[in-house]
Amino acid sequence: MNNKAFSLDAVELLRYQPNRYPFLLIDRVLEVVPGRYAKGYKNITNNEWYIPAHFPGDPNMPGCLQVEAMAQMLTVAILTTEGMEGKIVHGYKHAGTFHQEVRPGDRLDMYAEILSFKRGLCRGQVKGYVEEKLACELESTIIIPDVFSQFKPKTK
Amino acid sequence: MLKVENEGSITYKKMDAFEIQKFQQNRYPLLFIDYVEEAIAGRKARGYKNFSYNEWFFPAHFEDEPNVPGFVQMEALTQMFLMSFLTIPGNEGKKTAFIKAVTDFREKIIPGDRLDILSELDSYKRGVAKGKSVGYLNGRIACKADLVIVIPDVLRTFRPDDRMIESRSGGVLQN
Repeated sequence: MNNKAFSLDAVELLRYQPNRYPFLLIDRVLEVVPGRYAKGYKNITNNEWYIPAHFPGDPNMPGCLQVEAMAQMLTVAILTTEGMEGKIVHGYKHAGTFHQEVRPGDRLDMYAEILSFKRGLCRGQVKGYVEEKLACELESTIIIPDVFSQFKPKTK
Repeated sequence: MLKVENEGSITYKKMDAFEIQKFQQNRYPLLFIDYVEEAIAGRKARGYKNFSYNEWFFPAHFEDEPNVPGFVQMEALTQMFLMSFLTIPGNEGKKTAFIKAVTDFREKIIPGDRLDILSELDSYKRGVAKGKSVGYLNGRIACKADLVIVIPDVLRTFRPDDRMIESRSGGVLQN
């Protein structure tokens, strides 16, 4: 396994993970060590589809999308390992905690760490920061069905 | 938002997305500034725009090499410039129109970048604003524009004969 750290921009991200516009919620990965961790960020701007609706008069990033952004950062840490590029990932369990609002103009820095990855099942922890202050956290279990199904007991 | 009045000059600080929209009429998906750090009415404005891959123009411009289209840079520079004179009392929320924009592009801007914009108003008379805007990426000049912008509603009050404008707007004002 390649354990050297490298970075990814928006185009290179498309190669490794299957999310696309308007649902790709990472702009840049600054440092990723496949199978261990990924660090990067998302810029929040007025010019995104969910901001006018959430909410008129008080724009901020919906919690479900913060969860999605953090989960995507976790998948980057897995999908950069050899042979996993572009595989579909499903959420199995997400536990999110939200400490402060994330608003247009903010940069959401995310740090995703893999705690265990076995047989297509990954447990991980992600933290999101705005200006170095903790904004949101996620404890997550995600599944890569392609790999997971190989380990399922065969039923007749 | 913080409003400071000092010897006849008005300064707005820390203006967020919602407050920006009280001063100018651009809306999603054509609102291209996110935060105004400081706007001194009738003098200058300073703030920034975040670029995210989750914006409508990136997948199309271009598929294999997303970067910010020139017109978006021009519009972002202009919208920050608007904040320098739409903050003048009486101009809040008025519509604006281009008269002239000369734009230079120096650097490629990609998703994840933050464009810091500094706008200066050189003159504002009878609804016509002249000035310039400069955009920076990490302290380096990325784009700049010389601008002439008009507030038609204000200019109209100075025109001796505005029947031409009225006929173009369908004669609504004459009736």
